[in-house]
Amino acid sequence: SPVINELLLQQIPPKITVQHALQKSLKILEEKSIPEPEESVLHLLSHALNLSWENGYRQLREILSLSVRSSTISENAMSPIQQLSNQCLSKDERDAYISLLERRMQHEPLQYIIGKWDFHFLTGLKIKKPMLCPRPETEELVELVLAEVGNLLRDWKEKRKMRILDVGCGTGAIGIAIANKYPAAVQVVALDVLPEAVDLSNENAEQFLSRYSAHGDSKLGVKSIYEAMLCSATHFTNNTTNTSRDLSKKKCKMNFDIVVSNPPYIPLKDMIDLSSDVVEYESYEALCGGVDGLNVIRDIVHRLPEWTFSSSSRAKHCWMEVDESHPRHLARWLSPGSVEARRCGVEYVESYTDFCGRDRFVKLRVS
Amino acid sequence: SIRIYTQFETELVGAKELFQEAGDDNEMREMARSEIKDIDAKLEELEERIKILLLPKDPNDDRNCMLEIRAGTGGSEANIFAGDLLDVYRKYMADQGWQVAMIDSSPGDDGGYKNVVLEVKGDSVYSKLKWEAGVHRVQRVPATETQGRVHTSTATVAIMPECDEVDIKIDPKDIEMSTMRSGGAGGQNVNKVETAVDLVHKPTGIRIKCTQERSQLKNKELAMKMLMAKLYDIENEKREAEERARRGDQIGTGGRSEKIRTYNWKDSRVSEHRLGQNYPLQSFLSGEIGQIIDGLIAKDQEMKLRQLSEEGAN
Repeated sequence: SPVINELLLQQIPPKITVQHALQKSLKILEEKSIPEPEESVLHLLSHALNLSWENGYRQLREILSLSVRSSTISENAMSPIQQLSNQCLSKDERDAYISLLERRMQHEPLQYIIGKWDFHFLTGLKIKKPMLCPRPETEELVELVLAEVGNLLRDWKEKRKMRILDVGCGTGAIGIAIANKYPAAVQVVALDVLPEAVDLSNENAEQFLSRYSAHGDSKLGVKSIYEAMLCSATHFTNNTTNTSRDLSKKKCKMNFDIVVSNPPYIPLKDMIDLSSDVVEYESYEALCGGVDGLNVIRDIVHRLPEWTFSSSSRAKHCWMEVDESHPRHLARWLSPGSVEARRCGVEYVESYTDFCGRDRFVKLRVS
Repeated sequence: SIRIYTQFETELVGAKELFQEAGDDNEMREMARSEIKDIDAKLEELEERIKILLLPKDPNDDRNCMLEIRAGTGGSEANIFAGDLLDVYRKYMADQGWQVAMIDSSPGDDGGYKNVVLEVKGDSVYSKLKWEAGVHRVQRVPATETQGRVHTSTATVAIMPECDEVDIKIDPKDIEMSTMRSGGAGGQNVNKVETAVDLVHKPTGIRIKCTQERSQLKNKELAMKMLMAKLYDIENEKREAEERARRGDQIGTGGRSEKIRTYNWKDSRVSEHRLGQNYPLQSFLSGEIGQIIDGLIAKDQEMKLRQLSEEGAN
């Protein structure tokens, strides 16, 4: 918007120092009630100045809190932080910073503006709209699955790799974070209904997992660790009556040992309460799970027995991140021994809270 | 070193024999005598070195550590002084080629820091930095002082060796963790990048704030690492205090309230109280603290050697 542009050009003049740029832009974002104004200016200016991914925003955080320092040690050379603080923005840097600020002032998520973020131990995971920006809760889902993978590996007798299915992979965060920890032991198949999500997941897999691939051609090698495919939960079946184009090319072995998902789970009525940075930029399909939020979860439950079919008697679990209202619904619907549980072939095991004490994760068992 | 020592011993025997056999040949005797003197001197030097190598080592010496600077008495000036110490340490660490990351900080309103924690990784980090632990005192005219009066302020430095679950066991039930997402909606409903973690260890009341990482998981792990380092430090301090009491007063490494140094701006000098020596302030401010640290290490070795020989005599 030209008004925003004018304001920024005025408030952030040429030859402004790093410290003043931070202070001025922080005030602008605060006055416009942009969420997380401090985080915004730190990360965006670090990006505009092309500072180190690890340290740039930390240095700027220090600079933002630096007052005019005492001159009692002025005899000594300025510290690197003080030097950076007094550095003037070049024309290109200023232009870049102003365009980044313009986008943020329209409530665009920081991860989209910068194009990457950290998740779990993946540093600089590529993030593009409209795929969902990974949330910190989802790191806990990964940890829960990793704990199970670790346990299973202790008694692993199969000659094949452990197979994990990630339903609704988005940026690929969950499956890639899991494969990143056990690249030699695990093979992840990931699904999404958006072609952009499939492409992005495979791109991220290439970035983080090709270092583990044994083959000369890294793309081939990565596929033995992680592969994302275009397919919905319901259509992911070898039943020949399905019409999924992708699957008709190659039949996928349906002997998964673990299924994990962060499916769209927000109930319809809660979609109104979402802030603009979420609802205006992130994919609606990745967020809303229908009236009760359980649409995709139901699809997953119905396919679980087929996905995990094998001769082994080992228990197969499905781990999902869900809405707070879901654990009790699922506990009732799939109560062990109940008619529905027997019909679906799936039982509710238990739920886990996230670090905020919310019922956030469920564990189901294919019976 | 032992090998060289035995080699020299053999040479000495050889030289002494030569001396005997030389008989009346003065030239030979002189040669033999000077050789004997030479070897004797080398033997003595080696003996000293071997004794030091045999001294009980601080088990934490090879570890990385966390360095915490906390402003003490003196208000804004103490905060600014804490910031000055931070600058000095950063220069020293850069010189040493160590990896430094700031983990937590509470900036002071007028500059400097109320509190700052660094993680330091590299060779012999703890063995050198441990000598910085204690209370540092500064005497100067503060920047905020309008009438040119000299003030005395303090900052406390704590050095905590890195440790893991082997050294310190923490019961998850003792920990209360809260994050920025604790209020309101969470999960898919909210997209916030702030992942600060606030951790309280209920039995001790220790509170740790970690804001540095983008990944919340990493912030949690870092906060736990800090907590373990602090708890380990408390245990070490207890043990060292007991040892100090047992051996009588000794050069301390980490008596938290021990006033270890005074920095006087007017006289441009740093007084290291444990050594009873002064150093130029400018070198200190340029990050050249190696001299002081070497002096403390040498004195510590001297004391340990003396104790060894005393114990040997008993």
